[in-house]
Amino acid sequence: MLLQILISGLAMGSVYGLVALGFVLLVNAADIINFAQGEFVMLGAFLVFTFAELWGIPYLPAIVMVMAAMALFGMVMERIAYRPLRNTNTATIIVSTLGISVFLQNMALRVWGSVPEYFGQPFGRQIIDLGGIRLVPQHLLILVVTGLLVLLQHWFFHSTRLGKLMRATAQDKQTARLLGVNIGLMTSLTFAMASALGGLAGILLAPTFYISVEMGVRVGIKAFVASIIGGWGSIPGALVGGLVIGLVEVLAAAYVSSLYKDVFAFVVLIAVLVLMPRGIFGERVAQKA
Amino acid sequence: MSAFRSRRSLAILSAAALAAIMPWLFPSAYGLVLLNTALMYSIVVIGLNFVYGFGGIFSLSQAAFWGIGAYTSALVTTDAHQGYLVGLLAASVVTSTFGLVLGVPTLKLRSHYLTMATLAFAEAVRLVLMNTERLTHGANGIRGIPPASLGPLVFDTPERSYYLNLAMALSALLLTVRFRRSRLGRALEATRDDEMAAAASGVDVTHARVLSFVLSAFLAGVAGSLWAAFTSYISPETFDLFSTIRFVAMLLIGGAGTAAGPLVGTLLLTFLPEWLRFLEAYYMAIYGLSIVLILIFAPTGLVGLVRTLGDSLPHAKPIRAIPRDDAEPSARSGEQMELASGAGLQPVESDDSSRPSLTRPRGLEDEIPLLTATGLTIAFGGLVAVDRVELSVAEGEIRGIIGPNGSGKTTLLNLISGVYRPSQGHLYLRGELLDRFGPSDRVARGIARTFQNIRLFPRMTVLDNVKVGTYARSSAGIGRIFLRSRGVVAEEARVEARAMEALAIVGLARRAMDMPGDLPYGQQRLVEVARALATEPRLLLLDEPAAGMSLAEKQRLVDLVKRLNREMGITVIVIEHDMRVISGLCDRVTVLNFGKVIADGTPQQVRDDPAVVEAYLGRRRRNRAESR
Amino acid sequence: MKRGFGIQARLALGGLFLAAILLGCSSTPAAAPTAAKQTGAASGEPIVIGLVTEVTGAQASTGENQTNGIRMAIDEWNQKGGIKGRPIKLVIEDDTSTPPGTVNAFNKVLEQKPVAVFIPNFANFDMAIEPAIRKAGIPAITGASGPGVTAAGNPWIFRVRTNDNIMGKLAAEYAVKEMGAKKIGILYVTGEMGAGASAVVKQNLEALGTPPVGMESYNPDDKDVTAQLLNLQKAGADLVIGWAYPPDAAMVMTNMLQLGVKMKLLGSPAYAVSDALKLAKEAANGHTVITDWIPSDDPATQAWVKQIEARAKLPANFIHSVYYDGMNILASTIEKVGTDPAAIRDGIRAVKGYKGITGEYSFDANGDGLRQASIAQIKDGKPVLIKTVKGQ
Repeated sequence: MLLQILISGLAMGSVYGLVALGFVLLVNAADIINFAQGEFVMLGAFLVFTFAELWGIPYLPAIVMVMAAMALFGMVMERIAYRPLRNTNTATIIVSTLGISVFLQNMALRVWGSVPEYFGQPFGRQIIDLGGIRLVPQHLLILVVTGLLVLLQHWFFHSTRLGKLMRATAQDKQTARLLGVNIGLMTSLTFAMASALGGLAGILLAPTFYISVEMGVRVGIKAFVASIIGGWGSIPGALVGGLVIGLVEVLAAAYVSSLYKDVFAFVVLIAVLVLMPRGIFGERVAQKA
Repeated sequence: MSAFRSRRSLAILSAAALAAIMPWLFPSAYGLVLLNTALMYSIVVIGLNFVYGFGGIFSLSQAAFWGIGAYTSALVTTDAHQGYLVGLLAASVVTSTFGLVLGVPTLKLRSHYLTMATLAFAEAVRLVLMNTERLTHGANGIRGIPPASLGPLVFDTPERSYYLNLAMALSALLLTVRFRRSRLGRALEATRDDEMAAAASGVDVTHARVLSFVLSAFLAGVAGSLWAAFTSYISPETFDLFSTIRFVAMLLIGGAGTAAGPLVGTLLLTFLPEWLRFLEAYYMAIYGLSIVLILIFAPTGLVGLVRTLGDSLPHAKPIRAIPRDDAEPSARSGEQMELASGAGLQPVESDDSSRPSLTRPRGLEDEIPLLTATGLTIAFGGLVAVDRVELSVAEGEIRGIIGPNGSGKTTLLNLISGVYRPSQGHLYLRGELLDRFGPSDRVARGIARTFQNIRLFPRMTVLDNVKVGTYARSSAGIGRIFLRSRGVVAEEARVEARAMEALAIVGLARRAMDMPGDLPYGQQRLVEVARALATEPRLLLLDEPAAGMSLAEKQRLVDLVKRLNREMGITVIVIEHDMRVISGLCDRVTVLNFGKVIADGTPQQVRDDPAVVEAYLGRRRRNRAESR
Repeated sequence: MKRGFGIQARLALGGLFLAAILLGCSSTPAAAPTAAKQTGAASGEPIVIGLVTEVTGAQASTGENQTNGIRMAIDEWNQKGGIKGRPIKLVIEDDTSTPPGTVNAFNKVLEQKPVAVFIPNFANFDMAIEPAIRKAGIPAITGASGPGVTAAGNPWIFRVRTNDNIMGKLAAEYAVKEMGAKKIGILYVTGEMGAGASAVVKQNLEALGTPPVGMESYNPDDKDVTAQLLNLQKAGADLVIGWAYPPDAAMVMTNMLQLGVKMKLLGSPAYAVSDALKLAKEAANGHTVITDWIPSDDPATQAWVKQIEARAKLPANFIHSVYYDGMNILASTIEKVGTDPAAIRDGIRAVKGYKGITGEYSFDANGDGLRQASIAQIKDGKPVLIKTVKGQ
């Protein structure tokens, strides 16, 4: 039973980690807690449902379309909700993302309605049975994709010119601007990436979660808890933090009390904050001297 | 003056009258319920204003405190069958205690970590409320909560509750106004804007932050008690993160850090969904968008917007009278300075003889040096910044500290003022071991400093900046401040007088009402000196005070420091690069290089010392100097 | 320090602001939310019925079902000329799926002076306005199943559904007597409904001599109950009695399929709702559910089912049916006794043996109107009626 529990924990954990990846991107780029990240996930899920189920577009092209649409959406959001507030303080920007979150949830309610939808692609209901241990293929897919994304992001930000420019902009806008970097473009791209990642998370989560207007809410909170535990701003930390939460929750439910399993996750969070405030991987962005 | 007074009273009276008849102005009972809701929310938001607006701490626990207050009051008045006042009292005490419990550990955390800790606390509270059935009735919530009552007076209709909630909200507003203008308010805002400078000015930073937490919790607790009694049913899901974010939105939209901001923002965001209901199905979506739009057009909040508009009005004139110019302080020794009278300033009397006044006859020559450092060492990682420094500064001396860049001068100053703890060695002030005292405690003991990069509090006037320095020499607590006792009024008058005196000494009395950003660099530095003077120091540490000054300004600075030393008996340690300033000012000079003392003597001796020359200019120059 | 606007100017601004608030708050008839369409020969002063429901928020789908059921009944009455020639007007307010929202919505609805209201299908929302209903003195009809709603001694509240005390008892009895389960585990969603119902089930199981071997819970937004299911399996359960909301009901069934657990499931009404079945798809097949109502095969019911499905664009469920029946009961009572709220209240209570779509209604002193359940099995994604059971 323990093995099955662990697998379940890893599965849920990689879900949180996947959502956290997009979230961490915005933490790095703009030092904001994006309350709308969960809604990016929700939008991605609804869009893939619309494209693949309602309009009959094949799965892979549908994914491409969704991510393109979400990237565009991210750039629009950057223009509307972030750029005008760029020079104000963190709290203002965070509240602004909350406003966007409320807006998106309710617009989605109008467009797609209140009834949750089922989206089975690509695996449907297949289960892999390995000698009594049951694996859900979608969970494996999520774990693999998230792992790949971590590597991909790492490569992108450390080995490509564009990635380095984005990191430079995130760390010191003034200097980057003085060196000729187009700050606005960099921030736009960061939002586009974060939004596309959120959308991808939605696509992958749709089969496990059921698509509904509220699907992003809880998962969004867990994503930023994951980022804290993994190390604020750390990309691999996002995945690891998510896995930690997933495992803690399921182990607490199995062996202690299902009633208080959420409390355990938060106890872990508090413990991390007190004992290891920089998280498992340490803080990514340098503190100002 | 009297015309102004009577117009003001008239305005206040008409506002009071309007408030009194409000229930009858509302066309619908539902609107009155909303107004009550808004008033109760505004108390929570005023609490948030203390911790975030004035304190700069982005706390996400406000709804949790609100919930604790509501539940405490509800349980006391239902399960424990006590009267409402007991419930209210219990709610305030319990919630304030939680505020204390949360505030103390968060001292160590910074920015987003602190926010996350408050978030964790909030979620823990929600989960406890939801799951501990035996205590909190769990998800069922608590029903049948009796309405608020004061003795025979029962507030069981929206009309009656309105008056209670209005009274409470106005009290909270009064607390805000009085707090803001008090030493605690200045201390908190100073801590928010520049913690290091605040501590260096004597502010007890810890106390300020914890107090802001406790106040925010207290107010949320009171609001919770009112809420429970008003709605008669509470359940855990109301007190979640999204409620907190709504409160934050109300504060930001109204204007964080202003007095009226919370009320304005709360009223607006409570009534906005009603105005939008005509949009029917889309009203929530538009509500979300409105929040974003309002923030874009009024990033400092609506009150901030009004203030900006007000400032740009052509006829705008300051309401406070400026004291008459007192630019040239005369060199009178031992005498009290006479101050220009304006706006009720009194000449300074030293009515508290146990406290040293700003002007003091030259101190007694003692055998114990004022400041002693033995074996003082500090390393950062592998770099030893200050290396076994021995230092002895006599009382009444002016000591210069020089050395190439990176030689540890500022670090030494930081050690003396308590910003850093040495890894080895000790510091003594008149023989008393300083090691265990933090920066603000050292200020209380008489060490004051200025900073290399000017650290004035940008959102306060020059005068308020200087007043911050009086923190350690004043004592009004929150209770007396709220009640505006005579002692507090008198103390504030004293504080103002001392601050004005300090400004007069540096020659900037006429700039008291300006904002620091409006002053030229040299004058900003003088304000820092005035702030340091307001702490009534025995030892003044100046870190490159002449940097960025013109020759004339430097001369005036030298004169000023000499006067401080000769007339007020203040011992001075000054770091400088300009040798003319050093020669003109200092009795002795200590030279540092790579964290070690390499020379110590009169300015003349030090200038000719070959080690010093080599340190600054290199070996070739030394050879050339030697060969001369 | 203070420049710019003096205190008078500020107070004036404040006054303007307040005036704006007062203006915005006034509810003119034009600003009132949607009313039902009035067709047919109905004319004359409308009879106002209020509806406090979830238009937005997490439970919006239930709100939609509730609204459709009521609207369908109203439209039928209005097409036949209304109640004694007066059209029925439905006034809807959004409770945003929260208790404080319910309080606000209820207060707002009262402004339209309805003669009766329908209140949310959720017990803890209803409890939030219970005192206000008492004070307002108008009949309030709900389909919430939490027992507390009619146990508060409020004479104005009526329940058109079987409450969980009865439902839980019937579930326990069916599990032990008809399904022959010996070791029973309970898996419930936290919250008033889940916790309350599962406690009732536990009590009844104990009374029957088969106490549950385990009780596991989860939160409404949880996406995984692997640990809970495995714990119950470890305790030796051969049957799980599940009490859920529709989305998590689907999640539980899917999880059971994924884990390949051998335990059977007897699910609460949420497990039979079309939302849950649509999401769970084949994972639902073979499970048993106890619910308020499953459409039977008789032509009248099937005709009704067709109509509601055309309106709601969803399969018919018990939320549609109980509120349809409730509206009909209300309308016929008004037709009999007039529009005085107290008379309506007494009139509803006097209803005995009313045959609605859902079943036979007889209201008791507490306001409970229905005391029956249907047992069904899920076949091909649809619940198929096995039998109806009655309680006291």
